[in-house]
Amino acid sequence: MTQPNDDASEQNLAQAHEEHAKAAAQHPSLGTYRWVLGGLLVLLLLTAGAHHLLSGPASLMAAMLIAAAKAVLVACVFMHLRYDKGVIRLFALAGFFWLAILIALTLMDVMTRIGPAVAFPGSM
Amino acid sequence: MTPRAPAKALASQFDDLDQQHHAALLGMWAFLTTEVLFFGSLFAAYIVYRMQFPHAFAQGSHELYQSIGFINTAVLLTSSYCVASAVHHVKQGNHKQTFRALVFTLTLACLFLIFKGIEYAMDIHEGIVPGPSFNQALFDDPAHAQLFFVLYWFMTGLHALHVSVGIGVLFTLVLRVKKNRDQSSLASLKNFMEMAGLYWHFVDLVWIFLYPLLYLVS
Repeated sequence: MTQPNDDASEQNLAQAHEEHAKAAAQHPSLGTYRWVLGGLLVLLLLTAGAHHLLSGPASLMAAMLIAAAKAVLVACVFMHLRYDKGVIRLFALAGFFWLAILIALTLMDVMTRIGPAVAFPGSM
Repeated sequence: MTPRAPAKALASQFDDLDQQHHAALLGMWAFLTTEVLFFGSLFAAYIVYRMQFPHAFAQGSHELYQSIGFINTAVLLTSSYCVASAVHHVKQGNHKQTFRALVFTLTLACLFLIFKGIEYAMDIHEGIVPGPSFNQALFDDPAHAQLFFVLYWFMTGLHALHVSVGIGVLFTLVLRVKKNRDQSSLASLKNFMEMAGLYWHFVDLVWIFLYPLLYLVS
């Protein structure tokens, strides 16, 4: 009576192993890691260079874009997100999703203050 | 085919090694999510106050030691590579390379703290600690420049605390790898090492954003 259930669960287990083996097969090589380190150090040089060449909002924009590029490299390759399953990526993104809410709602408050409690003197 | 896992590697609550590995990753990422928000609140404060006092922030940032900030960033990026290669080697069962990569990571991590400590000593000497000893003469708007430095000391201090914890974890790993030379006991360290790697990459990620926001304001 228990035979069909055992077979089905064995099949699912085998399938899961196959999927994981396929995913594991995409594990990056040391060479990939070295390329990423090279890219990160180049981006670091770019950051310093942009700081010397640009100023004001352009400097901030450039610095943040380059930092984001570094972050994507570290997260997707070093932290393995590029090769991980969907649920793990979801957990990883969740933190930044909630951080976005924190920053957005804070700014929504502060940037819309007018009158005596104005947050940005000279802008409103 | 269900692998017959050695009793040491597979904990009793898991069906197989894959599930255990998946659970370890999910658990670590759940913790890192809380850490994103932990640092995130400081970043949110930074955003608001930089928008309000851009000149004070630029002047404050100018007083920081650019070269140390640059070198520390390079040190952390390289240490991230080293720990990633350590995880790579432990998965392949290369004991010697795993040990070496971990030792490199640990060395770079300690270097970061040493440079940070030297920088802090120089900062204190410069008089950029908010409070009675603050060197007001350096700034057009000393009250709000102090705001920048409050954020500088707290954000880098919290980050340095995380680096210290990371050093403790890495040191524990170095000792364990040294003890477990054979394949099966080395394999039992895989998940711990991967989780420690994730934590270290996160510490690096925070610094990737701290560096331009604190040192490169113009």
